[in-house]
Amino acid sequence: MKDYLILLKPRIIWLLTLASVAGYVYASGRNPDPGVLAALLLTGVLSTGGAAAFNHYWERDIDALMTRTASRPLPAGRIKPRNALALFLALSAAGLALAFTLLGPLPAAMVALGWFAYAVVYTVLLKRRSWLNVLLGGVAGNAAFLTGYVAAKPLDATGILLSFVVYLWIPAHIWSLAYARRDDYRKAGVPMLPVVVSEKTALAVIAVLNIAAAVYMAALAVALGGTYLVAVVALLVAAAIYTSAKALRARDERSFWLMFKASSPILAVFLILLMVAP
Amino acid sequence: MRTFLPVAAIAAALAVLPFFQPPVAVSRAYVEVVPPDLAIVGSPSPTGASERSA
Repeated sequence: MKDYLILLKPRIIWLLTLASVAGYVYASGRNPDPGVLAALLLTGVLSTGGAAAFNHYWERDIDALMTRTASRPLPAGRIKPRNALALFLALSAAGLALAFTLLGPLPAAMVALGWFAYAVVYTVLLKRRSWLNVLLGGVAGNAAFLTGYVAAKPLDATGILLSFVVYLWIPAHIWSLAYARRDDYRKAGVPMLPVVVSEKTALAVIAVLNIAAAVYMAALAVALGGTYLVAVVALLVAAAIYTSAKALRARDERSFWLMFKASSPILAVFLILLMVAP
Repeated sequence: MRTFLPVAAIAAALAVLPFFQPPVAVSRAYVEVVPPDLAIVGSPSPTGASERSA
């Protein structure tokens, strides 16, 4: 059972579903309908879990080559590939169908966009071919936030600008992991940025992106106003800049691992603030 | 580091850019490039009053 849970990548589910719920709560004027919230949670878990199961299925050969992923259920042989495929099909179909039925066509289209960006664009089309994989697959982040947003109101420029706080977090997050584990990715032939450019360039790009994502978050907080939001986001931005500067200075795996680990809580706190901060 | 700092500064400036409403008007009609609820600077209403303080 635990292995099937691993297939769903619970941490990705948690963050993307949080983004979706935050988008909904914000767009509803912080007056959410419990039924819609429950539907967003359900469809988020199903569709994101389905796409994650497909990612495990499709990448089982390269996962077997990398130290970090070799013990995952598929490369380790604890789950048969066809079972992972069946899980992917069942969860994805249920997630998309329920999104359409419970939330409507526009939120369902956003669920489908996120699913497509992660399972098809990132996993199938680009992961093994181009370092752009993260940049284009990152649209899944926008889509997660917008699923909730359009469940409350029509798509508008405010929703799109807000959704980029999730998108901008993705490249720095994934590339800091790829930098820390670049030998793994090189061994598996996956063209992540830190594998295809010099270490010096990769370091600079990741740190710059992390800072840009933090500044975008800060600008968003100032634009939205609210003393608590600005105050807490100032701390989050300081933490992001600190981890970037530390990684740039130390240039070791540990500091990039710290940047990788710190970025998710920073985004999560921002999304929670978006829902509750006065 | 010599290259990094200017690049980081440019990236930070670009990250803030989406929240600045440029003074755009077409045929004297005010064009809202940045949504008023997210504009840090700019976003005057056609009468010149700030949308954010309205």
